[in-house]
Amino acid sequence: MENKIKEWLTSLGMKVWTPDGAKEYFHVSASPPQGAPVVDVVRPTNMTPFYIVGMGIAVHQAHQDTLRKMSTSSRKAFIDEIKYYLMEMEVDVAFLPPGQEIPQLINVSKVVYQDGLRANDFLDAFYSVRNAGTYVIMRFLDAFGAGENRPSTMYG
Amino acid sequence: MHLELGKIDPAQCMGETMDPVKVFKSLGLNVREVPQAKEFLHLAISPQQGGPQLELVKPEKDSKVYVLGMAVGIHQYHQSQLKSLPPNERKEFLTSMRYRLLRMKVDVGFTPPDDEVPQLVFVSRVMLDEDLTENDVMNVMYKVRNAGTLVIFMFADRFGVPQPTSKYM
Repeated sequence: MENKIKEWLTSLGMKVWTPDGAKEYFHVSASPPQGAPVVDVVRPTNMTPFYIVGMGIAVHQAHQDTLRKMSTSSRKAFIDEIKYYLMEMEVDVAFLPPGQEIPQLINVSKVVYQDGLRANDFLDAFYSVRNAGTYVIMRFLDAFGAGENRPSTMYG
Repeated sequence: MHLELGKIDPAQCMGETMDPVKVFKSLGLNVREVPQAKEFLHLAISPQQGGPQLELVKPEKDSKVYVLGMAVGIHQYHQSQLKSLPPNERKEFLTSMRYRLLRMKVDVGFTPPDDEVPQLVFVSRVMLDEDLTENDVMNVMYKVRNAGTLVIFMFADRFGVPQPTSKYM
């Protein structure tokens, strides 16, 4: 199945590689040839009956600063809307560090079960995660702009 | 991993269907029977560390459907906050919640049905057992759990988190 997953991703025209220092039983990253966004597929151990498809979005320092300067109510409205949208996208969501008003990292993921996994089940989960992550990036860019720093390195 | 895609599972040739419970168990969720349930199968499914509880129901032995649902009891504090809103704001809050839930393709029930202040919001989704796969179950779990979580978030974000309670557990 691991080979299948690599094959499915490759057949979408994506770059597929194992990130340096990956300690899991199976861990690949995939991105379009231009480099972003990067989605990871992980199977923690060979006993795990599922794969985790995930994407981490680091919030740019400049955007964290802008969030900090906003009024509490508009910051809350902005963050809440992102949260609700991600719920609707049917993914797991973590704002890190937890319980903070200003997130440094937003992680979106979805679990797919190994038994009976069809190519299009996998693709569905992949799209959910990639689009959920892309939505987060676009919301930040639309609200705060790309700034002087190119965000593409940050939103990997 | 020798299971090839497209290979027919012998269990399915004999007309047996996949047991959705294994998916929940494999995620490390607690699965227990609901005592005195009238249905053929009625299970409560919850994370080990506590958190939102899902219910899986198969009404009768030969039912062709499972229902996966999540009941969100609205905290007394949130009910009274909602009651104290001007009618138009209350309506707007509840309709925007309904619209979001509709977009998530779940069944939605507000209890009591016509009251302006719900005591319970129930979200659920039916699964047909024909050709049901593990990932169909997984997807329905995400749908229902996220729909229920959305209800919890919307109340908590709008009115604040009440004193710790087991209401949402």
